[in-house]
Amino acid sequence: MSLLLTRRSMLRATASASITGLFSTALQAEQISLTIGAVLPFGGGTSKNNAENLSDLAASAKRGLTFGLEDTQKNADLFGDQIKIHFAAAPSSEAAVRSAKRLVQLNKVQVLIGGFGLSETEELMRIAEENGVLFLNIACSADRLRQQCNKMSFHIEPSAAMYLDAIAAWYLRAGYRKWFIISDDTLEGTDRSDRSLVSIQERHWGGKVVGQSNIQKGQTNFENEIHKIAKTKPDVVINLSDWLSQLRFAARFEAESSGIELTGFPEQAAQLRAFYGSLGQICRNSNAGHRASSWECTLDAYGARELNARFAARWGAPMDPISWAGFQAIKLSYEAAKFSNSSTGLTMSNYLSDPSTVLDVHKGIGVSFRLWDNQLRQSLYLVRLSDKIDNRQELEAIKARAQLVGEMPAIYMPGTDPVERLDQIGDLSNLGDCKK
Amino acid sequence: MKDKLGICSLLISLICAGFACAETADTRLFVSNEYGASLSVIDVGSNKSRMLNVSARPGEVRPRGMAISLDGNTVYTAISDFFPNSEKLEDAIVAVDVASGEIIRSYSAGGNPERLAISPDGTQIWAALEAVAMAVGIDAETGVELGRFPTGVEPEGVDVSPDGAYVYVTGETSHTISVIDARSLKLVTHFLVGNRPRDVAFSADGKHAYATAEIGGSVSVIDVQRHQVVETIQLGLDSRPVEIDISPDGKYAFVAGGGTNAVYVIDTINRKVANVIKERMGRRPWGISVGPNGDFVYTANGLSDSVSVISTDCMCVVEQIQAGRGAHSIEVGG
Repeated sequence: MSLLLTRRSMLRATASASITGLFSTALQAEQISLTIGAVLPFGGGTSKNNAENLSDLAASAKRGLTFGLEDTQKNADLFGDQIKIHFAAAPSSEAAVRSAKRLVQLNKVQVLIGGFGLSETEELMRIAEENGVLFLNIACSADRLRQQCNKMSFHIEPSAAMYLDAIAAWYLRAGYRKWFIISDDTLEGTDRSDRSLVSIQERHWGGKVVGQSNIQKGQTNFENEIHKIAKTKPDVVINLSDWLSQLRFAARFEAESSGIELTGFPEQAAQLRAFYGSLGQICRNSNAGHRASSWECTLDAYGARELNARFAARWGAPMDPISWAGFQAIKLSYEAAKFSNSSTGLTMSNYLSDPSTVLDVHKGIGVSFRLWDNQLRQSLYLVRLSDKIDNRQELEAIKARAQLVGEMPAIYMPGTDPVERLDQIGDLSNLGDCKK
Repeated sequence: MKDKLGICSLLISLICAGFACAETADTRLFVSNEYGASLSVIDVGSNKSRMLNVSARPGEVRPRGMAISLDGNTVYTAISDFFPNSEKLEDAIVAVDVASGEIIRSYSAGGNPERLAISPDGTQIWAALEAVAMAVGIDAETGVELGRFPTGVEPEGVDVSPDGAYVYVTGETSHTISVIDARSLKLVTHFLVGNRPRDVAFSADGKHAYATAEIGGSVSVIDVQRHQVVETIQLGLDSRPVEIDISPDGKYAFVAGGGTNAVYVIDTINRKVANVIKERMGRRPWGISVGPNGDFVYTANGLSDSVSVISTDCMCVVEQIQAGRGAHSIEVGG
């Protein structure tokens, strides 16, 4: 018989022992009191057929943040420190701004966490800058955010350039040379399209874009795109539009049974196990099998096994990439406060942007924020979707929807500098203008 | 030049072919084989080895940390399963009789025990319970639990000071060391060390302890009297230090480099890296132990299922010995 350990039971046991055993320690040390505000997209677009409906993503992020708080508070208990978190539901960009201002002014948060859309993230960055609080972006990959000189904002979410470079590297090395790009008519869509040209044709040898198609956001008819693809005969089609458009297009593409590989831009909503479940059931015959991700719940090395297992035990759900980002946001916030012995935004920002700071995000290599754009250096993962995805909701069945098959950059490359190794993906300093 | 190097290497190999020459004849190495559910017992004098099974379920039952009784007749081994979120009967410390190969006792530990240490007088066994952020002390003779103490998240490395006064436990995810008073059985304090501390070891004189930081790529030098880090020795961001052991004379710390397939030799007087041993090193050296007279250092290599023998004369690998599947830790016994 096995006994499932819960975080609560562990916390209770630890808290009682800590309080009695560490009173003297707490008296000696500088105590940290950290208040964090998280702005999550609950309540947006109630229809399932709305790309703005990010409720699943918000729920997964909240699980990660809560787990991060419980885990990190456990560390904080050792030193008599205190961490609090306030959650705000923000169904729109405007609501996110109101929530963020309220969190800063009323709840006196020292850290804001969020970033579920370009305009929302830009606003949260501005609020953080104006109020001297730290902002940690956990979901928005837009490159243009990285090019702003915001000292208080740090991006845990990989940049679009990092994702696109990794995807291009994987496919090109596997012999997929002719690409067809689908992007939408939004600002992010255009940026992703422009950057993917760089990834495919400039940063990797042998890649060629044989066709492009620009679709409207919310478009449901893809006859023109299917026709162009058939005409240009690419090896792989990459859809850079939002998660819902990716599903809609995949359904139409499936009907063609062309045998052409299909992949998509891994915005956070398109990295959820729920998304993989939908995509896997749509693509029964076509090759929509490989996706990039910022975390993988089946990762079994570098301490990831323990982290994934502890998370799954806490929630009965796998640690989605957005859960991982939420967890790390809490962990890094506390470590920034603890190691700099201060919970003011500026001090924490200075710690995170210090070139000598090394961070552990359970990816098996010391990582850091790049000086020129405050982007977290990190490796990404390639997953292959199972060809037998079904509707089962058991933990193991949900995890089995995808399998880890690659890491980019590979973290074990003896003889190379680890920082340069991680900087193989994403934009380098000459493309950013953020001077410290 | 290459030829000369080759001849030198051959000479060293020949001189130390029976590397027991400088080691005591009755020295034995104990290796826990994580994936083989077994212990390898290697007789240094005869260079013969045998396997002791701790379970008939390799791949499910996982032996990792070890400690040797003072008489060398019993190997205490932390065993667990591969599922850190569940507590099972396998989460225990077993005492294996070296002569018979039988498990003569099992101490219930719970919470995925990972590494072990034994007090200098042999009466207390201390274990890091990885899954529950605790350290547990057990009376070796009676099996009575002496106490459970909160540690950082995912505790791993454990050591007891040479005077038996303190137990240090590293917290992998929280970058901490927790200090337990082994006599009064009370928690003393926690303090920060480098990023992802995997292991800690006291110097023979007990004045200092050394903690590795796998992600930080460093070794923290700790003043034991004050329980404070007094210096951080940088091994390089990509050095990935895991287990550490100190030479009997206290002059060197030997650090297993895990994924870098290297052993780092630290000059503890000058607090600098004196050597990095890579040539002929087995794959993924995780466990490391210095022999009783400091002439040889042994590593347990998880990916090559082997033990590398390092001569401290040449600071080079002079021998490879077969171990079992997934060699994790290594201890030297009499």
